[in-house]
Amino acid sequence: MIWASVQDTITGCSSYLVGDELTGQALVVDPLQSKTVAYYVLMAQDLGLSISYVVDTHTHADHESAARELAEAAQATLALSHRAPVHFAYAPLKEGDRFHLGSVEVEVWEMPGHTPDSLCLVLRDLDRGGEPWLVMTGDVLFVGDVGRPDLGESSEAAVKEAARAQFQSLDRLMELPDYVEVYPAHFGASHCGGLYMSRKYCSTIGYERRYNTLLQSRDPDRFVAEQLKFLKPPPEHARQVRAANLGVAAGSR
Amino acid sequence: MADASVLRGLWEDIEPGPMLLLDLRPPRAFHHDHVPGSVSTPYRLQGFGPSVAAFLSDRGGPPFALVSDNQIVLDAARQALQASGLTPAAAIVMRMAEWTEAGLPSVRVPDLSVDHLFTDREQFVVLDVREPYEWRSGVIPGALTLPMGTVPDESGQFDRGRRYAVVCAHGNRSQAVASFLAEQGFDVMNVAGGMMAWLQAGYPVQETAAP
Repeated sequence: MIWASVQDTITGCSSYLVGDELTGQALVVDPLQSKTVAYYVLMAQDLGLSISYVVDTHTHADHESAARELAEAAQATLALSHRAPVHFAYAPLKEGDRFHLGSVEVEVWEMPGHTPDSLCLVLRDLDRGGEPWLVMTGDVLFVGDVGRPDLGESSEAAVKEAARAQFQSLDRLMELPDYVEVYPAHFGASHCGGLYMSRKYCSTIGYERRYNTLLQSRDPDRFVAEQLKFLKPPPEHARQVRAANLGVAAGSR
Repeated sequence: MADASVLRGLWEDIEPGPMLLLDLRPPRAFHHDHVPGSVSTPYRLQGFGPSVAAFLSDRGGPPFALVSDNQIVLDAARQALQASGLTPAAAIVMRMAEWTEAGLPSVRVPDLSVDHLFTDREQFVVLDVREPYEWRSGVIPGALTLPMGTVPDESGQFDRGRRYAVVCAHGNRSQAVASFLAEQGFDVMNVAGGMMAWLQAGYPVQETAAP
């Protein structure tokens, strides 16, 4: 497995490139417009890889995604949750879908909460073993924190429902073994988490199970109450950013 | 995308020479399928311009054309070459499928899985191109051991009636050797994953001491 992570330390956004030595294929997850499409294309080329898949873990509200443009530039498959409310064509990903880059297996988990179209990607290196090695958690689980529930619909009922869904999704992540590495879409400075978000960009399931404050209670009501305590104003330009990522004009949604 | 008449025009320029076609794609893509006579010069972020400049000057500074399957890579390469004082006679974005569809020839090296090789081992001459110190980890029974650098001199002795399976440690060097042999007209496949895959799958090896 070839692995590269790309961070925007100003906005606290992470994106990832995963490749396979044998086939020379690569997958890019959550590419950032702030890094530019050319950055990812040239990075893949430099690593001797051709990008064949581009995936966004969910419709981002805090930063512009480069996914659509990158998929076009690399003639790659753009794959999003089948629930993604976007206005352009893509390959729909559903719960349990698996796709392969040579020996790298990517399994899709639908993990609603932060947004209804949130995905986690569970990765295995079949050359080394059949167990999961790492999980890209999108905005479900962060290092020290979890994704906020209020960036989709902002009514109190909708936020509570999203928080409850987030609890279920986190519960499911906690079924993974301790050693599985965690790679979220955000860290530190990001708007998408709450008070406890670490500036470190990766962790493990075991460490988060032990020390993530929001994972300590196994009671959904307490989890929801805890999440509501830390609500804060949406990121600046959230509406416009989300509209751009959905492929519609700002203000029309 | 690339127009068939443009591609045929390019082939008319490079086939007789002296114009060289430099292929910017990653080595894997090149060795899998490329234009006959073209040279693999994968674009890299560091040192690309100077290394191509040195290569061309060794060959007496022939005119050259660039090809890539990606516009962004082509533009970056062109810029890097310009900084080294080089200007291509042509620069084209195309996929090998378009080249083939235009009726033009290509050199291909198909991948061979270790499972396929093991099952059909009677059909292949296995050519192990690793260095002698690497034989310690074992050699596929019956394999011809010729370190990469010796293949051009020895390939004159190869049997054109046989099918060759080229293997190295991971499948990268063997791919380059396989594509060299394919260019010479041999029937050749590259063992994907090399000895790593062969050993991992638990297939037999013979103990071979380094000389």
